[in-house]
Amino acid sequence: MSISRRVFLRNGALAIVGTSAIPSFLTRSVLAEAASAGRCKRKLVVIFQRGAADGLNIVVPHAEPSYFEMRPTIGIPREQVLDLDGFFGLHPAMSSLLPLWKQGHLAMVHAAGSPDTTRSHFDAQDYMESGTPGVKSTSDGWLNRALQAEDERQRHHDATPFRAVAVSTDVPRTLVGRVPTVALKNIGDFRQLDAFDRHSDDPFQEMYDSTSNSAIRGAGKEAFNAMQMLRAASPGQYVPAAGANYPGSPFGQSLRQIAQLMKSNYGVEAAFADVDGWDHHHNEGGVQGQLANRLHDFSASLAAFWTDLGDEAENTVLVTMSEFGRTARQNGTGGTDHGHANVMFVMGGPVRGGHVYGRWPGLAPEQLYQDRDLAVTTDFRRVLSEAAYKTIRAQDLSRVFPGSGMQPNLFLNVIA
Amino acid sequence: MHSFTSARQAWFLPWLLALPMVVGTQSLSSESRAVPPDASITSTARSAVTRQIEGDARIVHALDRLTFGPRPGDISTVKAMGVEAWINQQLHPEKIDDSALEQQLKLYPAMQMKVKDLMMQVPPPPLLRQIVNGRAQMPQDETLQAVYQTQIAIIQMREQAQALKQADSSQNPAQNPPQQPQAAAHTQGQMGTASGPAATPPSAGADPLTAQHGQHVPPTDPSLEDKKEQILADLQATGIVNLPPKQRMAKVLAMQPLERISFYRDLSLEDRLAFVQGLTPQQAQLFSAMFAPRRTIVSQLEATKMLRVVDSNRQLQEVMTDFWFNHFNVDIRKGPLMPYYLTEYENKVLRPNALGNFEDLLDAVARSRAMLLYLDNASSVGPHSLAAMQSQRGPGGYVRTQTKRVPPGLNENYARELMELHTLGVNGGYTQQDVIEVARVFSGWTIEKPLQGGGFVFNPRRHEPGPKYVLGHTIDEHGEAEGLEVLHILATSPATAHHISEELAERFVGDKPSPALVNRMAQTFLVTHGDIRQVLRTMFFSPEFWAQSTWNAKVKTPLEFVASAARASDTQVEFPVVLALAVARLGMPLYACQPPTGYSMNADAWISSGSLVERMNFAMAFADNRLPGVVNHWNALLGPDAITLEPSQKESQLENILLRGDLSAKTHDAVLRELVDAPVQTQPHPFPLGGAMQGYIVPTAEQTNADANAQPTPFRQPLPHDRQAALTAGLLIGSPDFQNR
Repeated sequence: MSISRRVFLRNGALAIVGTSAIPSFLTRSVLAEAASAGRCKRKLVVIFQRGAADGLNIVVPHAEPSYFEMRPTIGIPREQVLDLDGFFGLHPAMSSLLPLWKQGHLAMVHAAGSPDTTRSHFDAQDYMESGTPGVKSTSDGWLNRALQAEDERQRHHDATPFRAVAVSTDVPRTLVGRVPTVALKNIGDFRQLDAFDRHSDDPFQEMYDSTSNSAIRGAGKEAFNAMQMLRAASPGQYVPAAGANYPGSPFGQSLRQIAQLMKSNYGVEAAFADVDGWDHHHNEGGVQGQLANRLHDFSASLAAFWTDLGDEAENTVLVTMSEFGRTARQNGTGGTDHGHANVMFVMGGPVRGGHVYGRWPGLAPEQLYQDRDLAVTTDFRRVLSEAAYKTIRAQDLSRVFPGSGMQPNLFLNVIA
Repeated sequence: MHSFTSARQAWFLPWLLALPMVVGTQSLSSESRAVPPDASITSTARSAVTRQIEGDARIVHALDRLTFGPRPGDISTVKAMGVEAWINQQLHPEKIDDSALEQQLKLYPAMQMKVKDLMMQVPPPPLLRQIVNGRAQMPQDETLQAVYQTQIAIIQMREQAQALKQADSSQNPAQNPPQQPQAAAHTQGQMGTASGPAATPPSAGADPLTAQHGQHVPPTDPSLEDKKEQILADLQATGIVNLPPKQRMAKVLAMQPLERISFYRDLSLEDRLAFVQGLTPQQAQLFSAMFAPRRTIVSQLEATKMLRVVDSNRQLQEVMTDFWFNHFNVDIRKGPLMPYYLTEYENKVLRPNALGNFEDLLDAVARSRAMLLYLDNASSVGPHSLAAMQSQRGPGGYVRTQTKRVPPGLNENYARELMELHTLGVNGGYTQQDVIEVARVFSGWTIEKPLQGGGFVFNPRRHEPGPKYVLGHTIDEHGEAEGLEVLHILATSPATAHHISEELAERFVGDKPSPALVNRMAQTFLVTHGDIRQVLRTMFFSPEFWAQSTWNAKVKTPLEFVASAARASDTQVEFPVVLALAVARLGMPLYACQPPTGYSMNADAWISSGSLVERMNFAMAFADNRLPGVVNHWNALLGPDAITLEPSQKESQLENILLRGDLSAKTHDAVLRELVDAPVQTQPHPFPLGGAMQGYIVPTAEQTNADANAQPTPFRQPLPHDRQAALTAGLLIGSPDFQNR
């Protein structure tokens, strides 16, 4: 599909109504947009690449001469980069995302990162997920607070158990907090195998409702509410939209679950999934190799998600993040060590795509952070603030990112 | 007795190693009816500091924290000894008889062998590739040659399929994106095929062995002729299976590699199990190595781990071994050699030092192949070392260069995690410069000739010359001893003492342990120069450990949950690997925690809506004997008059056995109501254990009846089984009350 959905929206709904040449999903979404102007509920999907993805080999600054000097064997040769704008280019394993870029539904923010400079995976992930770099004592995650900070006047439906969803066995740090989160690995498995159907009361539910451990009681309540809703809707066998070819990888399957929930009107507002395996200290590879394999899976999964969402994509924004970047120079073992700034992807219908945002700090030795890493020029919270503000209407940014001074005037305007 | 025991030695399956474990079924009822823990406490005067756990509850608490959960009989044993004496005994595992377990472990040959020998017998793919390329020799032994030839044939079949696919995709690039499946991520039950980052991943679709019996799709469209052939092949396979053990093996060894592969593929799961009946463990391992070498080793790792946690009498040693594995975490998916290294990592590196001296442990880990590989130190080279200087010829040993040759250099990975995770802790006061300096110190600590089974070596050619400056210390140039000096500095640092003590207190006492307790433990650590046993003693005999607020305050991890269920139920675990698959299913795959941090031991990591549902499902399937080879004998537990018991009596006894009577009134009511109001009619449902296990689920009664041609096999074993007791036990194990310790 080469036509941008957003372009249609911008050009006005009336102009195309009744035009039989227009694919039906476009007219449907345009009509829906027109009918519910201002009420349409946008959704936010957050992806965490755990292990510190090598942003410099993902969105490659191929016009930087020092890039090739610093990465003699793992650098992506200019002629093999998928050029984006003459300066940056995508890793060749990411070709499945090029159509989205060309349609203007995909943007990147380069040299983004945390003001905290730790190179510990654990701490850096913790700070990014809590949204409070340098502060260990924060008990909840930024995305949960964003749901709390939603402007209540804008709400037009009751929250469902699926308002916040994580595809994982635990509730990720990003979503820990007051707003209940359903954590599930697989929708099909999210049910009691031994159903106590003949009772109005499930014995397990009764026990979990009254246990004195509040954490277990809370999780139990979420579980039973969610199971009840799934049972009522009987999800059955999910068939993704035509052309949505999810890889069989854990990440592909995670996105498939999210798409299913979003498309089935379970009331998802925020969803989270993570994807691991980015910590390439050794034998990272270049055009091919370990990172290339991860990136192929990563982009094929995102592309399938986009295709699968169909109309839903119009109201969805997906943001990717990773705890820090990797050293600008390759290390002595064909890999990269822990660095600083990284690249974030922003994808979705309302995204002003086709552009790499952020100020590029350069890769000359004096431009590097501590003479080794890409410097951070965009606080990651500026990207997340804008995404939360413009999708789930998290109006009170001081609540989402306390002490950060985040305000709409700091937005990069990646999202329309 | 159970039908499977007739095949006592048939412990093995290619990707499912199992062994009959005869669990003591003695003395089950009287002592397990423990006094409700709170009974003796209610009237107790409050201590000046904190209210303490008292009376028999101390026994339960000690068992909950020092073991993987009490077994029936444990409470009376500890009571007879006295809690203190029992703790002291657990602190000295060498004084505890564990011969029954050791006997069982003998059935797992991979775990007894040296890494070098294991690699020879169960060749890893890179070694086979070397042989194909003429860079290594085929072994002399003819039997081993059969293993090698079969594996080489499988690899070649995979490569051909891969090439076909690629040719296909180059013709049709839009529809077939480049092949991607780097199986870096772990899914349950797929350990056997997940070959890890450094290996060439077998493409799942192209695997000549994935086509299973009954699902085997012939290359062309199935026709009558093909079906006939299939039936003939089945018959032939079954015929061989029915031969005496020796002839069976001889027949297989006499086959051509392709014939052998086809024979194996045509065996049903039951046939595969039947095939190894009567073979020695070594023969069974040989058979398995031909077709599923990685799984051959991984299964034995998983099975022995579960056997130990469920069955060892040296429970504290097992808890501590598990603690150290998690502290010094490595991931089995890091390359094709990691499973081999793990057979020694837990058994020779961690367990012998688990209650010993921390610096000895740190030193052993630093030299272990598993850690050298996992955190990449094996490939780190000093940038000014001889090896780097002569790099035009390419570095020797473990470093592999890529298309272009660049001088090899440092890798910071181990140096950073050594300080952040293994010793000082993230706020332990080291800088980025310290990380680089430590990496220089450890340059040259590597693995010698890994594919020939080589071990740790200090390679001076790769060692960075000159002095190093670590944490304010000047380390003079003296080769390997520099590393020992740094390990000593780290092991004796107060930051390390604090970090280790805090982690121990989190595991044994509570998610947020008291700083005063941690400080006292750290003090012991420093005074005793890192004597782990003494640090534990300080903790176990502290008022904080016995504070009433710690009672049931830890949420069980999936491993603790599964192990404690099997221990409390006195389960007969014939296929321990099934329990490992269940633990993976619950979100904690053994040996496969990807980040170096290891798994969290705190509640928030393990309580979520999804994980609770999985735990309830596990509990019901487990109690109802729907996990293959995991058999509960509820009537034996309930005693000789079990059949005459009223439902409410059964319930009450099972409460005592599984929860020592310590459960909420609501749980009690809910279980009882389920029993009394409703006859047992739940629809039995298998517990899904992931792809590798799909065929292993015990058919339920209805399914067995539906399959008119079903032959009795070891798996089809619905024993005379008290479904009412099973339902009760399932509800109790799945209850919120069983999720804590």
